[in-house]
Amino acid sequence: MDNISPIEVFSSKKSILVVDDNTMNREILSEILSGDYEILQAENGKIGLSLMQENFSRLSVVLLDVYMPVCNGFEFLEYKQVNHVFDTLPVIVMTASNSVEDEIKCLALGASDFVTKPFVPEVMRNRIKSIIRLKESSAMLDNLEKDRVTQLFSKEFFAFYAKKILAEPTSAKYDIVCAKIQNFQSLNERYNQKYIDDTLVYLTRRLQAVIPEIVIGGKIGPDVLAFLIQHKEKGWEQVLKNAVDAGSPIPFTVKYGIIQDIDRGKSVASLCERTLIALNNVKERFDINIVWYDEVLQRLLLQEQMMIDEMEDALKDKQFHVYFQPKHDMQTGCISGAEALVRWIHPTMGVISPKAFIPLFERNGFLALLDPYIWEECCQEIVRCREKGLPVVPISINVSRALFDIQNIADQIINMTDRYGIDHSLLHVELTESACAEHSIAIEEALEKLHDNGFIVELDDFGAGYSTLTSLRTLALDVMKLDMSIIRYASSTNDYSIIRYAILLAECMKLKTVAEGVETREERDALRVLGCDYAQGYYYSKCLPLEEFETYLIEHNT
Amino acid sequence: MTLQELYASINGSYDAVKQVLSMDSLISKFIIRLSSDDSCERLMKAASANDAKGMFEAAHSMKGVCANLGLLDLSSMAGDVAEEFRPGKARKMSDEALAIHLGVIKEKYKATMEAIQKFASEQG
Repeated sequence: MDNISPIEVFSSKKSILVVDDNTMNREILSEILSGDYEILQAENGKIGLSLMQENFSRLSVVLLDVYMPVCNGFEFLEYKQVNHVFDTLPVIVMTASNSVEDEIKCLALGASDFVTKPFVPEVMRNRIKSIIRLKESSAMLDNLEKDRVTQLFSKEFFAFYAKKILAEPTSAKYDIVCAKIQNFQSLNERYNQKYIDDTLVYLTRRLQAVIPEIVIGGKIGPDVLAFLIQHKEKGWEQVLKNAVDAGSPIPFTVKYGIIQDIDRGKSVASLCERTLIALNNVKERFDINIVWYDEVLQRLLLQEQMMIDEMEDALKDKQFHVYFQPKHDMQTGCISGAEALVRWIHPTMGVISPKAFIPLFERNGFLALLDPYIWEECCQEIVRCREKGLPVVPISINVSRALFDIQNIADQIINMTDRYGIDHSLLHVELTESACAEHSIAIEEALEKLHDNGFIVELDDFGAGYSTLTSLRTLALDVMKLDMSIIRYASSTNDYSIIRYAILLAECMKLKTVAEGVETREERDALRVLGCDYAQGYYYSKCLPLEEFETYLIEHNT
Repeated sequence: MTLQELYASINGSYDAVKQVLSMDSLISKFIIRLSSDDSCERLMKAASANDAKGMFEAAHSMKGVCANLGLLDLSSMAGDVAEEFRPGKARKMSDEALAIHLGVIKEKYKATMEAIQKFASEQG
């Protein structure tokens, strides 16, 4: 098995695969060509195919003998022709001088050219050079179809070619394998673009090497590779565990979603989407790296499909309710604000937690409608409190990272607040974690603008997963919210050192801290001693619907 | 003996091999390596086993190697045998004619190998 080291992969010498059963011939060819090219040798078609698969992305051309034992040149060409992913690799067939029929047959099977023995080095070199040049210029046209970095098809063309293949009138069965790089956003923050590109290329080649049944492949997302493969029985997936090995440019994890024997009528894009849903479900599970669509998904998808069918009506019918969780000042004990959280109360499905629908709505864009609706409800509540003479406290609204690239969040929020005549300091903007969106300038600029206009900006979920120090450094923040997971950890192990340092870090950066998920008196006491500024959680109050929240405001008004 | 002399003695074409392997050192290296090529041996074995496919592959292989090394006679003879057994084509030669052909190839090959061996031992 070829273990491609990153250095070999990027050497500028082009590689040629020589397939010929006669050792002397291979050696002579190698001698003639090795000045300009790196030569790989195979003694029959079967070995040739295997070497071609393993080294595909660095090969420029194949020199193929016709008559070989085990697997001859015709069979080699036939196999290569069926697997369209090899279409861009030209084959020059080495024929004897009196075999016109062979030549015709080879050309029909997809060979690009032929040379006769004995080899005339000059002729050979020129043929090879011009074929490579031809391939490279046609490759430029491919650029639109292919992802620049991995050379896999772009999302649209993957779907297009997959559809063509699936439309062929054969009884062949196909599977889809999606490979998703985990914590991609975090990797992007840690490594520069070249390492990320190298990693994508590395993963592409490794998968092409360990899955010989690949028909075509595509890069369908910044962190997702998809492959249409000939159907394989369960058990084969074990090779995926070794796909990422010591040759990787950077350490990373991949999770795989596999759909078997796909329904040829369904669009490949939607099938890949479903695989990704399956993968999202096991995002936090360190023990699961390969998910079979059929086992997990039918159930989940039915529920998701129902949510998608219902969501627009739900919005109109006001089935989305805003709940408020009070925040308290840790030193004084007074109520200092509240976080707005959404619940979906469906007439037949009952109460649906945001964990179930927020990721879905982030993905399908519905959040762009839901979030603003929630913000408006919050503004209305603030106005209501003011008019009823209730204590007016700042409300924190959640804004998903994914939204910042779609619309001008800063202006939207500023205009809305002004429309209701609410002081900017009464609306806090909580930036939530999102697995969908990549780090962007749009977020930095939007938060800066909000900050400059007097809004308080809070970083949610600190310590929970993706957020890194980069976010703290680059974003205009006022508050750091400590995720409940680190509170839980500290509490259960009685080790508060991480929290202590987080609070110190916040203080250095002139940020206030809010602890989420405070459940016991011991936790409250520990956090107070450590200097945490605010807290919310069951110790104080659970999330309250509007009326109960207003009652709470009155009861805790000191 | 020089390389040219070797080629003259075996009725090979020094010019032809020079076309393929431009340097004498390479020609020398590969002509001596010919002894490791088993195409002729395989051809004879296939013949005695009446293995048509085997004969085709071996003769074809031998034709290519000999052509590359300027051994044009041997190449041409091996080529004739190869054509005789090309898959799908009808036989033209009679069995006696074939036997004679193979006999000549065998003799010629043996003589060639001996000459090369002599040349090799002189190289030290």
